[in-house]
Amino acid sequence: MTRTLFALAVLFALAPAARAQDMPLSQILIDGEDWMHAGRMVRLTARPSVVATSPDGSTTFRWVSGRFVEARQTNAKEGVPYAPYCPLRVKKGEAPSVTAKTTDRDGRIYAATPLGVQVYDPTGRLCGVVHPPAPGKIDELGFLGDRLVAWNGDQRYVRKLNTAGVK
Amino acid sequence: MRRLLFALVLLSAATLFAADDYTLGPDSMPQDDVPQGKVTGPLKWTSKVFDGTVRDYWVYVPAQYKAEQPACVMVFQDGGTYVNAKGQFRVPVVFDNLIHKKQMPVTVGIFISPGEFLAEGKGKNRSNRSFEYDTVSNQYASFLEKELLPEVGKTVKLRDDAAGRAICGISSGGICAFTAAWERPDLFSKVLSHVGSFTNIRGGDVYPGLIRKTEKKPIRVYLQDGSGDLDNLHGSWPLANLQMAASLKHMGYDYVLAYGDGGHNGKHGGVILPESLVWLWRDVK
Repeated sequence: MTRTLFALAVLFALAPAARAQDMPLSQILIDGEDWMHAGRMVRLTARPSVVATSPDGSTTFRWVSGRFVEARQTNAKEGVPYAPYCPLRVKKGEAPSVTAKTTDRDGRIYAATPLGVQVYDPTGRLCGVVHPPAPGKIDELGFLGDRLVAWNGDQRYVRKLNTAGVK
Repeated sequence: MRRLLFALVLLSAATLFAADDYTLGPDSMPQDDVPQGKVTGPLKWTSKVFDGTVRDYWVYVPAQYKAEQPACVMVFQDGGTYVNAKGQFRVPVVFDNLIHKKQMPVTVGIFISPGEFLAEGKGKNRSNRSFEYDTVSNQYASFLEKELLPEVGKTVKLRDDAAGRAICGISSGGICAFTAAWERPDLFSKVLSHVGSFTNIRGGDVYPGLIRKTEKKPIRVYLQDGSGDLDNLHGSWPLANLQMAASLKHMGYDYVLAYGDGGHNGKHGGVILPESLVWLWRDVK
């Protein structure tokens, strides 16, 4: 009986490994959890720059203009350009716009856009779009533990996710 | 209860292992009387088209190559996978056998790894594979035209007409092969795709519709996929390849879809590689 159950356990454990690694939004979204308005809060720190980095710090992501979040090795030599990396989903008739960025401990890249928070896997592929917390522009994005925090002016919104920020 | 559990275990094992039970044939094995080509590599390439990337590549030159006769060319994405003589595809071995039997023309193989941005200090290199392979644009074809093909052409005389050029890849490498030929049918006329990612990784799901509403291009396409292939956030690979085949058929393309029961790997494609190549190159002597 024990041997049989062990064999079953091994088979079912191996099955996911046989599939390619993909990062659907369902990996981080939690049933029943949504954005929560956390009230007005005066930000104590200056607005962050428009770059974010990978968990190990080796890659820097930025958006200046255009249809891509760009990437470059953090310690790249002077003159090495940023390369297009994460293709933005853009509303028809509108120009692309990224107003805030962050990354999580698993290497996902989060880009706040008019459509919502676009989430990319570490290879730059779109996992999906998380709907925005409220109408208006998200002008800051970050993690507080396992909570994604979005600022809209002086209004703060928080959403618990199945991941966490970079330590 | 014990018998039921045992039966469940057997059923699960059967499901996991019945698919993908493909076995390599003699054309994928070295043969004593067949002259062997030469593989050089890995060589390193720093790209300007994909600025900042470096990559490995290998070059296979068949024993029958003669400098006064330009050879056909076949490019392989994820080159390390295809050039491995003990891997699932074993291209150098298959090329040796088929060229010797005159079932395909004298063909130089160029095996190219995807580009990487070096870490320059702490951390890992960043792979540019998805961007290079999954993007629906002419950039990868430009990279081949402006960089790798001329570089290899310095030491080996290559045909420069599309009829003498083929391109092949697996997964994202597969859609990359199709994109290169689609964008530049003047560069490549023959496509071999293994479990091709014609899904919405970076908009590649556009092809079935695009094929139906574009004047027919002078390309020949061999698609291989299996019912056990991926179904995830980007799409369903089996359905995507079936859609591709339906569109190619609708437009009267010279195509094949070899559809098995395998998963997202090279087992089926590797076993049928010899027949795929014979089909692909059948009009070239």
